[in-house]
Amino acid sequence: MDPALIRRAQTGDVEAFTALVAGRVEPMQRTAMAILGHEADAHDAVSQTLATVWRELPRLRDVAAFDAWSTRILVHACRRLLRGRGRARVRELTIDIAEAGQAVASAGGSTDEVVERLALERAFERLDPDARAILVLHHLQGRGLTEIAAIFGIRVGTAKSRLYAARRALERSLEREQ
Amino acid sequence: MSDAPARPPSDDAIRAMLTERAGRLTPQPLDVTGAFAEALRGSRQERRVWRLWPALTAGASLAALVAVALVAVILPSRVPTASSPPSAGPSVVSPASAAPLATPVVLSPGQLLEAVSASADGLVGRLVPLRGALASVIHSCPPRPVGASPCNGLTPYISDVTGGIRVRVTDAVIHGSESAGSPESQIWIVRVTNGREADGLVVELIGGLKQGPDGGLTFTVAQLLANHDESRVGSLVAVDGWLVRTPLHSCPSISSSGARYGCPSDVYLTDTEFQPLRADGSSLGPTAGIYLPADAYEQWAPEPAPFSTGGVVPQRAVYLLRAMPTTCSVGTACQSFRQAEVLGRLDPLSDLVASPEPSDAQTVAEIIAASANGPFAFADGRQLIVHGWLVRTPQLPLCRPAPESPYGCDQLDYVTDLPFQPWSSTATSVSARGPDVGLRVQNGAYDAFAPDPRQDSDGAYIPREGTYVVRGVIRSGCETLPQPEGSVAPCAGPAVLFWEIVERR
Repeated sequence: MDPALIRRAQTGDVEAFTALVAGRVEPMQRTAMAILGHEADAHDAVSQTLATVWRELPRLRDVAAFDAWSTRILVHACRRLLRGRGRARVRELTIDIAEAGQAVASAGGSTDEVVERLALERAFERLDPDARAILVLHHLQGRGLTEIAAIFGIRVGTAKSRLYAARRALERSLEREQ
Repeated sequence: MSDAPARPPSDDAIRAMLTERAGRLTPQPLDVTGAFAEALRGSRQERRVWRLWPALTAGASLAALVAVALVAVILPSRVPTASSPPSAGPSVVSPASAAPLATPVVLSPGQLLEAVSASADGLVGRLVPLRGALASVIHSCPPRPVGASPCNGLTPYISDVTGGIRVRVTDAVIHGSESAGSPESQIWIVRVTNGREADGLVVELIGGLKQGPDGGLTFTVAQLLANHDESRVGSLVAVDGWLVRTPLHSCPSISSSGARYGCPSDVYLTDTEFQPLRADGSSLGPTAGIYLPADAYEQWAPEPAPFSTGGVVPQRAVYLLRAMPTTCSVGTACQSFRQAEVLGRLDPLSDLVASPEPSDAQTVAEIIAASANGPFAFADGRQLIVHGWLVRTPQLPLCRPAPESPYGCDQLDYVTDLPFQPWSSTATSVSARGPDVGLRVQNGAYDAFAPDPRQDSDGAYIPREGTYVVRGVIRSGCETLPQPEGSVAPCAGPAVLFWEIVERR
């Protein structure tokens, strides 16, 4: 992270901003995809995030917090899309375990593993946006509690509590699959 | 399903599932139109967004062209004037790519509804790129007068999370366009009409737009000529190019059906500002261009203007084309060009797409008083601005929330007129309560929108003052109640008005 680059971007330097976000787009898209599970929504979330980052960047006082700050904006964008999706989509897509299992198995893994993974994903799909986000940040991105706390603007203890609650929610949701 | 006891997922299993889930995404260049449209919603920063737009479009390597782009936005495109002498031969004045055109913004259905509402009838007849999913809802057909259009019991509409717009599908128009009826979100071209039906605006669906090779809205002529797949007959494409026309010439004796192209003049779309008129009065076609009907210039050039003797000033715009079978009229040399017809221009709507300001800021008490007539008073999607204090309770683990409800009882978020603390704790107990006058907003609103969300030393969240944009949502009242163990079904109950914070000002 180059603080000078961020400061230049804060002044409206488009070239600096472009350089700042260039390497982040794909990781952001994958994070959004993991949270949302829908490719078009993931791209929308990242588009919204970059637009917000550009708009709000001049107000960021602590440039060292850019990563946490921009990730928070991404999580918020995902949250909004998920909330909206819940409102707007009235049809539920069911996953054909046999078909999906075949497809995933063709890429590797036993049938049991595939079925378990699908069940786990369906359980994940039932979680609220915050729970999804914290699980993705921790398990997919490998972020520690201190980083997660910075992203959500909460205390480390609270982050620990939320991560625990998200795990429990996932377990409870998975029980419905058994 | 299995009768085996539930096994908690391991960290590795969760990681594997998330990795595979994330891996299903195909990384794409930034969706610039979506980002731009989204950024435009923050009208205060519009100038900043304009500066971002060209760089996002072109990528980092073209950031240096931003200054050029800014000039292009501010200044009109350079065209030869009528007083300029014609060049000695066919001339390429400047490459179109050097000065990006202010391209149209792809709107969401919600944005289009807002734009139409704000512009009265100013948008009627305009072609608009609209992103959403095309679907149909089944309805009953009311008795219709004799002669009325038939009712097939299906209402097509384009929608996304921002709303839905009813569309009128004209078979003749959409014929040949791919993806009609696709449940997936894509870009559609619609023509705004002044039609209204009981459930609001109706637009005419022109068809699904093929996106440019870089995921953008437009093609260049060269890209189309190089890509046979995109030029299949019936395909709709938006082309950023120059519309040029040769002087009128005599027509051979041909059937009227063959005279559409090349008679009494040749009209092309080119990537460069091309003037086919030569000093000796003759004309020559471009080396690469798309062949258009002879009346295309007069019909679609933004500002048709004569140039010297018999010529016209090339006119740049984003033209909506439909690929046509390549049939040439007698005596014209169109074999080297693909043919298309012009369906219209996609002019920028930047002056119209800024979301109308919802309203002046109101107090919570004012909003509650205005909603006293029933829960549906604010359920039309309108947005309100409220100035107040946002607060939440800590997680309330003893309350089992309704599944998938953003208003579950495991957390309570409110906006109030005065600082309010919904959570209290003593050495032996904790309790939560709602305000006497407050808006119940979605769980997580405090964390998402409060400025500097923070807990005090007792774990209570500190109310944060701010100006928030909210909209009403109708939910089941039972969502706020503790749910019985094992309950998985959405709970049923009376309709209740909740609120959703969508933005902090």
